[in-house]
Amino acid sequence: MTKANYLLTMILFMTLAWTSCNDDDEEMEMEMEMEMEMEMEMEEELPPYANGILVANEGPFGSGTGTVTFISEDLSMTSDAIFNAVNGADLGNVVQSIGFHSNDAYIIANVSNTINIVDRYTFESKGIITEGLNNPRYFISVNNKGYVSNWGDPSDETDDYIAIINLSDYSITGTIQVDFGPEKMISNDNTLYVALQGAFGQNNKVAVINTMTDEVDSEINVGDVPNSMVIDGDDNLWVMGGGAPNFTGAETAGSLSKINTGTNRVDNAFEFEVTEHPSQLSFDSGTLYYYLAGAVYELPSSGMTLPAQTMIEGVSFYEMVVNDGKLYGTDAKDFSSKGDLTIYDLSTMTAVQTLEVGLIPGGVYFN
Amino acid sequence: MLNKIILLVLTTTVVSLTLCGQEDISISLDEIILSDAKLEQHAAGSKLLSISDTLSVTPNHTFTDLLRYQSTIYFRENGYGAVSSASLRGTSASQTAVVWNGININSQLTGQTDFNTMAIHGQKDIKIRHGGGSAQYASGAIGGSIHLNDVHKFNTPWTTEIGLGYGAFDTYRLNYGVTHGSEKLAIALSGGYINSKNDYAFLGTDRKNENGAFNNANISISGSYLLAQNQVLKVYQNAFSGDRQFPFSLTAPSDDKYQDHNSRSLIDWSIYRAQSISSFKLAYLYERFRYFPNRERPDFQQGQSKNIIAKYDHSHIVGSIRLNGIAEYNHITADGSSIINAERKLFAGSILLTHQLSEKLSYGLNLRRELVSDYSSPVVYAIDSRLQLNDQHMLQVNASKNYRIPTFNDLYWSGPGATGNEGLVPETSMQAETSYSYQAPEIKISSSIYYISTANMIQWSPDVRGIWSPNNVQKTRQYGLELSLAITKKIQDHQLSLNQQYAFVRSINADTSFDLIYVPRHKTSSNLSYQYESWSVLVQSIYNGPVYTTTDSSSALDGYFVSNAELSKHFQKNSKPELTIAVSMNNIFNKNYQNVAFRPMPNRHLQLQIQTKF
Repeated sequence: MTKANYLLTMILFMTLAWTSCNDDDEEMEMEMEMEMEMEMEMEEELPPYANGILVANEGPFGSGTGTVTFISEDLSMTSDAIFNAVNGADLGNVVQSIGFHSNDAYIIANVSNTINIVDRYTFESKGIITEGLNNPRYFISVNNKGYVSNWGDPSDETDDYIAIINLSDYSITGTIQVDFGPEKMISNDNTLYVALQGAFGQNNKVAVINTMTDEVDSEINVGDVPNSMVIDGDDNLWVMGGGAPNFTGAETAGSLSKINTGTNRVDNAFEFEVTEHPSQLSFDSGTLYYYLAGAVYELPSSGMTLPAQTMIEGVSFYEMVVNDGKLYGTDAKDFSSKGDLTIYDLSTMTAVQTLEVGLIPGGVYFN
Repeated sequence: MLNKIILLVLTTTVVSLTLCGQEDISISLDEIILSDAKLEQHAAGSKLLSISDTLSVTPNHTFTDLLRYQSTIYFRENGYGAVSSASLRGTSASQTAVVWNGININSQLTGQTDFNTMAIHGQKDIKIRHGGGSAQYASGAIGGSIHLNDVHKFNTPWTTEIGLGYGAFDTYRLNYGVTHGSEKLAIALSGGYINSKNDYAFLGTDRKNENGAFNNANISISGSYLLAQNQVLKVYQNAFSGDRQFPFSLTAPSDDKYQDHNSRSLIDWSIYRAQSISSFKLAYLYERFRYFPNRERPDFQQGQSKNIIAKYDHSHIVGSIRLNGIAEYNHITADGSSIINAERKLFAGSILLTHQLSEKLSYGLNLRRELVSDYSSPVVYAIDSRLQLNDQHMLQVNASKNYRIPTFNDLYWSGPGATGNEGLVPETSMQAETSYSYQAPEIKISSSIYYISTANMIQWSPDVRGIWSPNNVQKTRQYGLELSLAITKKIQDHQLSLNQQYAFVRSINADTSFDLIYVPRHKTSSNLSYQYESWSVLVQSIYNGPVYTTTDSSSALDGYFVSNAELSKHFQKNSKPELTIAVSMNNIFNKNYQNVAFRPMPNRHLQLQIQTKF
């Protein structure tokens, strides 16, 4: 066989292979269409993301987009990048968190200074906020208004604020100036508590905002770097302080402060060792959970001393949430590949399942 | 070019230094005019590629572009003009050494060279040495090394060249060069300035490259002086200062900027004898960066390093053997916002041997041993051989052990969320390659295959507390193939030349078997030029294959094919003043492409250049 003949045969063969592939494709397309029709029929009964877990994935810093992964309630099905799948658009850079108000989910893209508002069960876009935000961090709704913590310039200690959002037309109606580095927020009745974590520096306060007047009523001093908060069954506010990290040259211990929401005073404060920097405080049925140096600890909300015993060891959680008898921990791995979510049964403290999610999973929410 | 220089030198005083009637090896003129003559002498088995960088007109306005379009090196450029790191043969950015007149100038802080902090039009001689060369060029010469050499010509008249450029995105350029050579003194001075708003359109959107402006200035002065009949004193000085903003990506705004300031000084005093050369070098390298997280605000983070190098180099020729011994002392200090007064002392000794066994066959052995104050360094070595079958065919083989030292950032970083690791050891790499090349009057072909295995790769990762620090964990391996083809054809007044490069590489994380990120498996570059009388046309293209952008190969970036074209007209060729006017169109097909994910590269744009020489 000459070279030319050989080439010709190859080309013919490839053309044949190509056309036969096309036939397959058509068949497949038909099958897929039928499947989609069936899915659509099902959709009419129940929105696609109605029952399950939403995982917010930050995505790469500076370029690229964060995503949201949906995991069905029985953990059998995972859907990646559902916002893009539904709306054909990206959420923006570094999806920091998701906040909820009735059927709306507020998805915050920190570096992009954007909040996408979607129906939390269909993920269809309902609006977008692109103005009035400067390094937005978290969303919460209190007293029928939305509140978004904003760092401003992360090194500037004087430009930090809470943006107030109209929940029906998604406009920003005002701002509340707060001290350096507002991060997570929690509410009790019409009172909004803002952890002043300190952005790129460190702070040690919780701002108390009266949502009737939208003014800062007072500030509660807590341990350095308040990174997470919960309210227990007796309306006590618990604030986890990570402590100032070693690189600051003035390392301080982590702390756990118990605050009476009636008086807004610290009732009790637990001190960790100077080199211990706890985070990820969660609360479920009378018990507090937190993460410290690769291990999970638990403490009854009536407890008087910090626990010495670990409940789960040898993990690397980027985010940890406890909900309804289960603990959800994400691992961001090398921050350059897909992370995963591991679900633990709190009654046995054993891992139930590990699921692949998106790049740098930093938020776990329940639909 | 080099032939001409050698011819010039031959006819002058230096002719008395050359040794008549040597046996197999003699002191070549290269080693008198070049500070880094070893690049050619002790590299029997290494592939060298010359890059042309003259003051003449070019469509490539950054050092990144110059190398991108003329070699198999690929770049990670975070938007046009922003931080740009090079990679050869699928290795990491800190595994390509940049060597200036024989001195390794990779940053002591990052271990890399940012190719957008290097000036074009300053270096008259650029060569790329493929493959490992740590025994000669120390840390980072794993994938290869890029050599920038100043060339001096004795007995040449004063020549002045001035170039002006203006083009799209408010880009202004000025280049200036003066050379002169008397019987005893040869000098070269060059300077350049570029200022660009760089606000190119993001194709497919209604947005532009915001916060992307840059400007930089570079000045280079060097000279050779014949102290006596057999003594040459060479002095080199280069200074660069740049200011650039960091552009928006498709999904994120930015308001940060960088300022870079680098300075390099070198004195080289050489004495030539009948069978030997001794040279003493003293160099001072200074680098400083300032990072402004918000360019509207006065606060910045900064870092700097100072490196003093003293080097004694003695080479001796005994019959067909050239033996070279080098003793070197480095004293390096670094400090900054996240590094507090770190210091390193390094003493190194190397032996390089080349043996010309016969007219056709030579081999070489290189060995380097270091004693370093803050980490333990491996002995590195190379063995290579060249078989010059005849004028046309040449075979080369080499095998080497190479290394990349931990940087000052790796060892001593102390900043928000990250801390260095003083227990690090150098990355070490073993490799082997073989090349074949063919040369005829109008055609040159070369091909190489290689294999590289690297252990103890330094990788930053977060610990259980979420604090990032580096560890010697990863293993990688690379294998690949390089092909190059150069054709020149002259028919009457028509001259055609084609320079085509192709590289195939697999670069793999040996632990996970996933591809390393941002390494294209295929890259081609081609330059096709056509000259007729006083007109010339150049068309250059690259194809950069798809790359993975995540370490688990879950996200990828499309490959792209981009072409530039240039039309130039030379007025008064061979009579003074020479004048050239050129129009270039870059990205002629208006390709929407990204070199780094979510960072679009420039759309189609025009540049006008005027160049004069007298």
